[in-house]
Amino acid sequence: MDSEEIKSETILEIEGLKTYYPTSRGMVKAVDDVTLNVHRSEFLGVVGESGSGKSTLGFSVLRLIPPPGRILDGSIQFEGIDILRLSNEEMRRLRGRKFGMIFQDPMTSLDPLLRIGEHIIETLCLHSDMSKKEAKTRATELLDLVGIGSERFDDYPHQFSGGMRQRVMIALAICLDPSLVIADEPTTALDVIVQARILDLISSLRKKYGLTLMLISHDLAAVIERCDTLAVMYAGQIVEYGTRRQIGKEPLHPYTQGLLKSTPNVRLVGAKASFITGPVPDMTQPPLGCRFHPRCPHAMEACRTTEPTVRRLDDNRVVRCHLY
Amino acid sequence: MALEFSKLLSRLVPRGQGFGVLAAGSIVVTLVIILALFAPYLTPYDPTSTAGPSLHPPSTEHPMGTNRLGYDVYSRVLYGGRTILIVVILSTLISMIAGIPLGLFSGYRGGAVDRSISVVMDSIYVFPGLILAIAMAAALGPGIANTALSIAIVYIPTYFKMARGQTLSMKEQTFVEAVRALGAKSSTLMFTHILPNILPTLTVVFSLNVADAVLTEAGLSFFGLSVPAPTPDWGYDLRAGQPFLPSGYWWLITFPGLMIIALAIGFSLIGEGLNELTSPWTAKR
Amino acid sequence: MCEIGNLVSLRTFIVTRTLLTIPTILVLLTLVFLIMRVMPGDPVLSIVGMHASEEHILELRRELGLVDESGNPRPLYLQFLNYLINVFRGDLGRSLIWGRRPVLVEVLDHLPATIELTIWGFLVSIAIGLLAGVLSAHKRGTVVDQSLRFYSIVSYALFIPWVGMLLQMLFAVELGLLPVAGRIESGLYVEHVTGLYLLDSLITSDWRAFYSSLHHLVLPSVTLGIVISGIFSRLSRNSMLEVMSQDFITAARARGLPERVILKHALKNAFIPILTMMGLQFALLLTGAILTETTFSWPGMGSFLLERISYRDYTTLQGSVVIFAVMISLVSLIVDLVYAYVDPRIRF
Repeated sequence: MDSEEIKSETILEIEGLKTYYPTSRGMVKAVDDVTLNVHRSEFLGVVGESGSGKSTLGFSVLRLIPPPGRILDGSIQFEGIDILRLSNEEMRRLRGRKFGMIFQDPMTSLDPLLRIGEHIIETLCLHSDMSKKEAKTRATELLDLVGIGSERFDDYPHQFSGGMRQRVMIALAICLDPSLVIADEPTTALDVIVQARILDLISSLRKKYGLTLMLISHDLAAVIERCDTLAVMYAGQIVEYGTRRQIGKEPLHPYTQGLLKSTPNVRLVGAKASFITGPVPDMTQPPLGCRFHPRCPHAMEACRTTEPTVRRLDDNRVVRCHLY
Repeated sequence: MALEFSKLLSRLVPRGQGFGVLAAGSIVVTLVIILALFAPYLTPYDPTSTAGPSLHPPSTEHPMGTNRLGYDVYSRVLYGGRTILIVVILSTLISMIAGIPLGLFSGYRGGAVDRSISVVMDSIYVFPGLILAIAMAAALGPGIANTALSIAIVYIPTYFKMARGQTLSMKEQTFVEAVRALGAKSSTLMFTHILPNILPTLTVVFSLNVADAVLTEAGLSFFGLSVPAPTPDWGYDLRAGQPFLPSGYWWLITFPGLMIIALAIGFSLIGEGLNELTSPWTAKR
Repeated sequence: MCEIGNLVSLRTFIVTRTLLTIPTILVLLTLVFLIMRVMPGDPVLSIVGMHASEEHILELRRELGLVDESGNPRPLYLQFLNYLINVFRGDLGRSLIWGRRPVLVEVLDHLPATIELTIWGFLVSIAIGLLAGVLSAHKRGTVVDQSLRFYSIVSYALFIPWVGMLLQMLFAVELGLLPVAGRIESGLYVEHVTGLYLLDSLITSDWRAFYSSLHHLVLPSVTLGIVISGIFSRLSRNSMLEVMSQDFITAARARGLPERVILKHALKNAFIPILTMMGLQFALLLTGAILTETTFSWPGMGSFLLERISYRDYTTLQGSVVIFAVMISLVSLIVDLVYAYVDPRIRF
């Protein structure tokens, strides 16, 4: 990590977080002992395959875990506030104002009966003292910022394409100048060209306003291209954490290595794409020992029996593997 | 066939509240059926002849009192159960025999044939059942068979729609293609393969439908269009007893009314219970 | 109600939907025609009696369309055609009894009473049903939810006349708070504007009539409302649950919107599918209204039908069924059109 970024304050401290969902098949340990820090203006990417718990992590920070799921253990400190101790009402006030969230499926994330301009006006008015007129001005500005013209202010969501709707979502997420924006797979439901545009938009907005951004995605290539730091998740745990350069140049965890190898990279001419063998783990009964061991090409005896501890290396990297 | 049935039974294993509801409904319905079936053993009186003083409140000789003509209300309630059960069972059988094969056929055939039959069925379905039954019963005249027929016509579309819907969804499934590729005749396909898979939905539709039919019969007999007097019929007795309400003769209507509701609720509960048990996604709600 | 994408314009939808009503009405007309022809025995003889003159019988036969001008029996298909033409001309024949008034006129005389009862019963049922359904959805899984769901199953199985009579016994006979039967205090008369007593007495500022009508409306509307409310309760519960599980609700929560605002948005969204279902419930309301009327001696279509049935007034019966068919198709059409207007996905 660059020395400047070390000095930058930590606004989000997650420690030992455990979020579980009881299901008919058993208790799904979606997030199982995650410790993570996010610094102001940092662009963090959380990468993992489906079921890794990355989305659950994002929802946990906002305390939006739908019952019967629950945050069982751990702590979340945000700007010095203990998130998990807040009352529902206090948490509600933080959401929107201090946190912004961009959702995965733009087709279903907007109220079909509400004009898109009204979406923003409503959020602005409910969280601040703005008059409706002021809110309307601000909303128009915001929409312009994300590339939606004012002539579309009174249109309904179904009149927009997926990419446009996602832009609206972005505007909604940043409309109150939040301290932290969490983007949960914002491009998964869009097609490739639009994906890039939306990610570019998010990146540029972040740079312009110095937002702290947590991008959750399964697309390692997209993340590694834009984010400052990366956290790689597997089976509910963070298995590796480091800066983009660190991980890109020298991925430590075998899973990260596998991910990088299986990512098509146009720059590496002649490189062969491979894939990680084996099935996705069952989150009600994750493998004993290191959770990745059934699929790991470097698996040792210890990996089958003992869970590797989190090791913090000198250059502020973190890795959870017996190899280190 | 046996496989489907055992699958159905295995699903009835206690799961959530569906089973409780089903059990409650079954108990109620069984009770009513027993009362109706064993009527002669449960009461010494003839429901169509004077058994005691007129308009006598419930007493030891007449646990539900007597009506204006001195008939024992308890007997009329018991034997009335026979009337309504016979009519309803008969009408439901007719509806099923007419509606289900037609639905299977229409769904399987598809095309213009399907569309034309569906338009007819949909039109009848949307129309208020009781009014249609009233029109038919008025035209046909009183009697068990006529009443059953009147009610049957109302519910044929219900069974038709169910059978057709299931057929449509099953038509696309691979096992149907497979059997057809083996050269099975359409009729074989319809009856041996599609029909058994309809059973779970059928039991739900059947129960809820019988509940509806009970209320329709009660409505018809309330209008005096069911079986001719003095045959005991709950709806009719309800109507007959109403003029005496202001004078305080409450037993004339309370008991027949309770029976109608018991039977209707019983079947509704069975239907709802079965519904919970046979649709996993509904169970989550 | 099928989902219409915004590819199909609103105008096309209105046109197609209106056209669809025609086959439905035709089918029902055919059905009614056939029903009336299956009667055993000779209806004409049973009406005029054994001692009527030949001419009288012939005249009646001619009028009923059973024979043509010269007295020859008409084949069934011609009878049918004649019947259809008459219906579309608005001629539903004449009553077979008493003053032999045109059926259409007589039905229209009795219809407003039924409409008034239906409206109020409907209002009561949605009031109860929506409340119960939304509450049930909000407190999902709790005892409140379970009991309300039980109520929604059971309420429909309540036989309307019995519920009405129980309420009569309690509130009218025992407690004397409300009238037992009828539409208005005997002797009072409401000036006819629409035929709806409550509205008319309001318009003509006849307060005594207003209060009397109101009093008389309570028990019948509540009876009808209770029995139909179960269906709305279940509809609203399902609809609310469906909506509450949607992404935009979670997204709204993520923006920190207060719960009551979220509920408001959820309700608006949930209401649309409920609205489409309401059209279907009209048939149930009508059935319920008829049973309610006969219980409360409410002078509407129900009592009218009951009376005419006992006199075997077949033409009136036939005509009434035709009118019901038309009414239901119209209501269904109106509901669909309202839905198309309310849902922006269709309108724009």
